[in-house]
Amino acid sequence: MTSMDDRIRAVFRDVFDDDEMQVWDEMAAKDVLDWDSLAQVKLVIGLEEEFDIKFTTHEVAKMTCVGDLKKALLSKDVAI
Amino acid sequence: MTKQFDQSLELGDLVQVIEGTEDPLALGVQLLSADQSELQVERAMELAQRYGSQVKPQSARLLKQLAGSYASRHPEAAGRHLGERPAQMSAAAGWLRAMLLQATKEYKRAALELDELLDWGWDEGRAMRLLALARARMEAGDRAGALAALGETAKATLSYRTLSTVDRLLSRQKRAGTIPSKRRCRIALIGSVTMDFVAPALRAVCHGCGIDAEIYTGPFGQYQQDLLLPHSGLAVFSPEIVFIATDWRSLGLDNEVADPLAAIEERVTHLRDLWAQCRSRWGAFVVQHNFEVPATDAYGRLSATLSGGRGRLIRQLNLRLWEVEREEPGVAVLDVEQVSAVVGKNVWNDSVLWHSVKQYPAPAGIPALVRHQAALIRAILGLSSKCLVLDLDGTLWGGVIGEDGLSGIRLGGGPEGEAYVAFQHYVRSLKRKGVVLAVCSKNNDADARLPFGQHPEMVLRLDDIAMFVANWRPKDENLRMIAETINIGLDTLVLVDDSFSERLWVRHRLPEVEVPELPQDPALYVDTLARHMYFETLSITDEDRQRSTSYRENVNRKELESSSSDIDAFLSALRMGVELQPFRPVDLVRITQLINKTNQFNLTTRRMTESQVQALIGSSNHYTQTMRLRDRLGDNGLTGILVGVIEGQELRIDNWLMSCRVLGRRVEEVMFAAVVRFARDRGLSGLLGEYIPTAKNEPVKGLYERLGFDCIAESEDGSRRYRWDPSRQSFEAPDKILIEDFTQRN
Repeated sequence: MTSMDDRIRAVFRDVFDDDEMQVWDEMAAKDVLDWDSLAQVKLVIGLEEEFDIKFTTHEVAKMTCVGDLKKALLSKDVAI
Repeated sequence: MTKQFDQSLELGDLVQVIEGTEDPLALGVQLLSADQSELQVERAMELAQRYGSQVKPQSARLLKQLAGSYASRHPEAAGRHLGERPAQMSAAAGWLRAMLLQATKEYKRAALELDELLDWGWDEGRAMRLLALARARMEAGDRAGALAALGETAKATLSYRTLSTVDRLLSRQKRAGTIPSKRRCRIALIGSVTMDFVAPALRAVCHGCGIDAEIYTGPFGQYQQDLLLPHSGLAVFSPEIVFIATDWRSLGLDNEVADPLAAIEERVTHLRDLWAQCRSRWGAFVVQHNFEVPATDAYGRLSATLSGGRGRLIRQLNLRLWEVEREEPGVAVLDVEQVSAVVGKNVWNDSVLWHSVKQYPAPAGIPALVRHQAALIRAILGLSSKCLVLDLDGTLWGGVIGEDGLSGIRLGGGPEGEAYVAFQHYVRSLKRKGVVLAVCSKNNDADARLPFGQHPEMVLRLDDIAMFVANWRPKDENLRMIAETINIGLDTLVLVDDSFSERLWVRHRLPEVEVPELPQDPALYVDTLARHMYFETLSITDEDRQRSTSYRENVNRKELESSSSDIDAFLSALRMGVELQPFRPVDLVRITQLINKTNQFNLTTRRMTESQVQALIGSSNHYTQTMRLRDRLGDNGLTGILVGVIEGQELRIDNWLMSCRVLGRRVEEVMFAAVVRFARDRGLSGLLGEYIPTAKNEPVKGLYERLGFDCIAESEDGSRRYRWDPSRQSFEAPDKILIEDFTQRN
């Protein structure tokens, strides 16, 4: 497990208030009961602060699974 | 750069690669993450000890990860690393140990470790440690301790994410039962923007202020219906305080408006109608957000110069709102324009989140916003702080008045001195708006008062201070006495003190007193104090302006009764270690310097030249002792000196002094115990002590009595001679201090 995965998982655990939550690339909004639009924004805010980056409006709208999130993060040359 | 390593990394190889890089600890721990062997933690600990006096967020996070994965791979080995705690641990090593304890479910020990860990050199470092502490206490079943740590975290942090985590942990605690607070309050956040992300942060900050906030956020964009409809969610909630967060976009203003005055009045009337609803329906206090002047405007400077320009109009509207505030009881305007400027409008505004979800301000602006909201809530509920208690040395001026004297302290006349002057101006302004000032300093009273009357750069005067306490008693006792004498609650006191150990002590003894972390640089004192907004008020009366004077008149200057506070807990928390050595050539310069500049803890004030000191080294007629004190805050260096002269069968203590930095730590008892050991081993029949009074050494006047000496002579100038019989008397050093005594080695 890479450091980036750990950090993403930590943000998910914060947002969904679940200290045991597991996160995988294919996991999508439909797999998580509380992953609504509010949670989506919480994820965006949490990831932006964790990785010190900004998502684009397009990315915010299109992020529907963990893989998308990671792709967007990797495209920003995040310091891992 | 990255280099591939085998599984087994040698420490030397690691050091070679990371030495001199920007963050060697982070890089080292990262390289170690490939090491799956049992040695991994040991190596990480060595790195943390070596490079971890400063902890940065990256390395703290990596160490936490390493501890977690190591504990799951090698649970037994992890336990082996958690035996006896080394006496000296760097900040990072302490953190790693705490994270290992946490990962092996040793929550109680993890909490103790975190509680004792020093705060790190960056603002969020304190918050990070406190949050980890709260989690550990929670797991250990210490609910009250966890809630306190969560409150401290909320006060410390400026991170939105940390605030929302605090709120999340709080709500878990809430499900388990009510949270103790000074006050519960129902607060509504309504307005033209999404408030869902403000609410958690506000709840967290309120908890830090002792307010249990129940928060209502209405459906987006429906605040007018919420206010007007009889059975709206807001009506059911029945708020005590309503924040109306309307943003500049909701004003619907073009870049240029035809009739600006009419436009302003129309909007003011509209808002007043909303306030009236809140007042009449629920008797709620209303806080109206004013309007940010947009960061961008296509009209550029014309936006302010044209009589109908939007920028100009919004500024006028804001002024008008303050005018009507005066006519409306139960209404206060929150200066969002100012908050956005302080945060920085480029940070305050996030166009992506605005277009995506109508989020305003940006999450990075929310911590500042909710601090302002909470300060107003405190003011509305009458919970604002009332009294600012000031330390003197290092807080109002640089240096130590009792040592450096009037001409030696740094106040004005240079960059650092100017910073102290600026801080005094800020404090004086606080007094003018009704904050009561008090002084609480470990000093001789006469020394402490000296600069107030006589230093030309001194801004504060003695009659600005309602209560002036300078003595050598523990600060918690003095603070308690100040609160009682002025007759206000301890929870209305704010202590500003540059000494880390005093802050720690007061927080430990009197958790209800506000003790802000103070940066080392006095230039930042004003910003730090201002950021907490302890003293926000809704209005000011003549009575407020006079408050300080009237308190001062009430203060009864009775002589303080001495009391014996148990400071053992404090001392053991400091983890002191003392090293005693005979005089050595390597220390010659420092010894001579101390002998010639120490004034307060100095029994005989006998000055000596360097060659006189040198003559004592190795002398068979003398007993010499230097004392080095280290504690978990660091090494205080060589700070104590004792010279004894062997005269026949007796040892006369000719010179005994300690730097004022280490006073009040019972270290003098350690020094003395070594002398007793020496005398007994040599079969000496008596110890002789002297006290020669000077203008400065009042603090040690009763030292020999306290140690159990008998006074055998007193002369007219107040000098006293004392005697102690080592064959009949015994003396134990405080058991909380680790002592290494090398004085009899030669």
